[in-house]
Amino acid sequence: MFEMPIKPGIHPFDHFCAHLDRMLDANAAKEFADLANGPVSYEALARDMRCLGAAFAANGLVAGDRVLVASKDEGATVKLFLALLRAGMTPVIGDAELTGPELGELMEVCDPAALYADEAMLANADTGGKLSPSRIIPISDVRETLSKTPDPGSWPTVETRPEVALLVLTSGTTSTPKAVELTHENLIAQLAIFKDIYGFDSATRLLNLLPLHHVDGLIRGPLVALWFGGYLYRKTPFSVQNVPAILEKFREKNITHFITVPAMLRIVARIGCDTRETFTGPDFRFILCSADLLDAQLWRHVEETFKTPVVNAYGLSEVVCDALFAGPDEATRRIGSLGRPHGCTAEVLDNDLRPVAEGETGELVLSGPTVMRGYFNAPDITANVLRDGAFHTGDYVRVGPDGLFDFVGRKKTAIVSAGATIHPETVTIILSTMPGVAEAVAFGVPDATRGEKLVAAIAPQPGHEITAADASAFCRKHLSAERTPAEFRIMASLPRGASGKVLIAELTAAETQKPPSEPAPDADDTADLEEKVCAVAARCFNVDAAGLSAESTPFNTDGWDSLAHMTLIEELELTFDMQFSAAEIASIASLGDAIEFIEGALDANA
Amino acid sequence: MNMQQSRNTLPRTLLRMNGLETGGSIVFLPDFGGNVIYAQPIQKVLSKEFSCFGARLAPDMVESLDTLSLVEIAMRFAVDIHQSDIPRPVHISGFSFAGLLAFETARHLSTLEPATGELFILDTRIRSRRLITRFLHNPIQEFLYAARYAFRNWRSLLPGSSDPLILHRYGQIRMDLGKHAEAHRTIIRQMYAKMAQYHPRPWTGSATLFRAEEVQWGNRLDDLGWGHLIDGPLTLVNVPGDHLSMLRTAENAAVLADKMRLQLETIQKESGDV
Repeated sequence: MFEMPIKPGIHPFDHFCAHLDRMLDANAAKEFADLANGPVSYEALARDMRCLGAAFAANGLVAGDRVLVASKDEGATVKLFLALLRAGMTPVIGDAELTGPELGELMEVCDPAALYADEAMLANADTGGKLSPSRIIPISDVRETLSKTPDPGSWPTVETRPEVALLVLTSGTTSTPKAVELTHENLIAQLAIFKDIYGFDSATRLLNLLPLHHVDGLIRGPLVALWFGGYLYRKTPFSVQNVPAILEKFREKNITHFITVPAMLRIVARIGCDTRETFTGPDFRFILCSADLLDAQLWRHVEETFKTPVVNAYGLSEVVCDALFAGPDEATRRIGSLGRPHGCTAEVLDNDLRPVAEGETGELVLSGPTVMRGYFNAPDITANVLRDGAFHTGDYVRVGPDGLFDFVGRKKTAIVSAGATIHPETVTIILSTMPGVAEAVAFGVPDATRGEKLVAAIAPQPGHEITAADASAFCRKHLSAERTPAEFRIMASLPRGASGKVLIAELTAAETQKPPSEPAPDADDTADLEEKVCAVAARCFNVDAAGLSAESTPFNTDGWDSLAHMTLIEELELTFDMQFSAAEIASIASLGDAIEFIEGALDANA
Repeated sequence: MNMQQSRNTLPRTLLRMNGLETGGSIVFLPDFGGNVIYAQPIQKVLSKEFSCFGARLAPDMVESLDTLSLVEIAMRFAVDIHQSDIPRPVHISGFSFAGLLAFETARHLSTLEPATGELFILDTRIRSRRLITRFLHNPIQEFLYAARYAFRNWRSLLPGSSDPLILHRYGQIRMDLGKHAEAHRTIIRQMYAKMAQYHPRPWTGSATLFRAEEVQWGNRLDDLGWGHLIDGPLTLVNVPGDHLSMLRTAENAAVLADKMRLQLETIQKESGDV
């Protein structure tokens, strides 16, 4: 049974601030985090937050003001985020990789009272003249403020309690950029739920390398660490190349929880499976995976390979982070499921907003203290999804006989084929359980006779052979006739984007019509490709790209050893979104060979 | 486009590892993954005195790899080496699985050109395919091997419970595909199958066998099974480390490379004396 920890008569903001202050005081002697640009102690964090609080006040910022932060300086971003929260202002953390024009667009969405951003970003941004120069603050000024300002020792008094704690940027279920308004009550409720479910406490030591503009990186990162008096590791940025080094940190830093998403977990499972003892240290508790559908195949594979539990959480920014939990409690854990709700009410409703029977599919509707206040400056969009305080997720689920929720599909991806509504995600889930399947995805494409038809793409595990007939027979055993894909594509691997998500659009395009062919690459294109390949190789070998060329081989290049060779191949596949054949892998003996094969793959795709 | 294509004299199966054009050649045979990166530390030491080359599977070989035996692959390497104009004498070398390819390549090369160089086998154990022979030849070692094999593979020995990431046939080395990038696994599986099907035949040539000093408990530092196959002189050289660390640890690899250089100098001197 979940209970809000706020005492009657206490404003959530006051409760929030009092708790943060207590944690900062009580843990002053402890390390707070290892961030990309260095370690931070609780003592230094408390001082820096107070200094920033004084700087906000000096700049005329008051509680309730929205402040946009977009910087590659992780230390400054984390401190600004926490200081803004504590000062009663509303932080909006933007993508650290934003371009200048994108920054301008983001300002349109969140209408900030101040902007902290990297100098390079500001140099190319059109801020629309809405902010005075004193409110556009280069991130280097933050570093200067922290190095020169004496500790004020206290926080400026907050005259008016803020209504919104945090704005989270999301495109959500539509492509329209939106900002989710989360209140202090939302945050306190979510953190209390975390304590109940995950057992977070002052011994919690998180490894969370998700981007800070991602709610799972921000909330389950610095905020959770501070709220529970724990520790956060973010020093080594996540990349294919860094996976071995990152895995070493679990034991070295006594990590208790690995916070991740399926795309990242897939890469870790692929590259890190030779260090199977990574998560078996005495301190480690579990892997926490969220933000996307965790397929049963990957879930089971990780648990069997690394001998550690994986907890799957379902949630959206609109409910802070997590609402449904599969694990760590065994009673909520069934591989492939979303588990069950905690701290909120989850209803499964039909189109007429009536609860469906057990086992029937309906839309998941969440209500409770974590449900957002609304979308900032978007009352129409808010009204579409927030009705009587309940959030209509747009996700279809069903509840099994064990009371656990299963994901069925998303409203926006549902297709209608010959009159039947089909959720491709359901078919994906079933196909992922087929023996010999490494990865699978189902998707809809336009069809002249049926309106739409379901197609599945399957990548077999190495050493396994799967035919379309095998896959069809398997589907017919587990799915009704109309939900069995009309066609199957057997592929070496599924196309994935930089984030690791399957590129459905690419698969759909391949099924419908080829895009207009582009002119063959000219000499400049080849030169550009060589430059890109050399840049990837330089990262893999940890050398200067200027010293690399098509002529580089393992025998004239420092750092190109067996491990780096494997990393190079994987990084090139990810970067260029292609896959080398076995023949090509056996033939890659120089960067020139790799360039030649990538060129061929890009030409074939064009 | 690349270095290999710019050198017309080299067939697609050969990769030049350094720029030297004299001093005799050392050709390293590819490992399970199809590459010769394992030879990097040796090549660094020897590159000023010898022309170093790596053998690799040409694309047409990989496409028909299922139909090619280990012997046929080695024959192709031997023919290509013979037809190339790389500096003579040509010494052939291979580590672990590549040692088998090196043995077969050297054997076929010796039929194509009599004045071939030395065969260097880097810690490749070759076992008789006849179980009875193995037990009779070395019962304690074989018993320990069998016990170790059963202990490590008891799960997959149960019906219907094989681990697709573990390759381990009795009498062969154990390969954990989990330690290899997914992209390499196909070719490793194919090469492993070829190794398991391979039947070595005796050869009248000579060879130098580099043995890792650190052996598993119960194993002896013997001739790794080569004494029965090589009728010519077989030189045994001990090198520090175990099967993997003899090349992966820089200090060990430097010792190995140095010992190989000394052996090459001895061979050169002897051939000069003759």
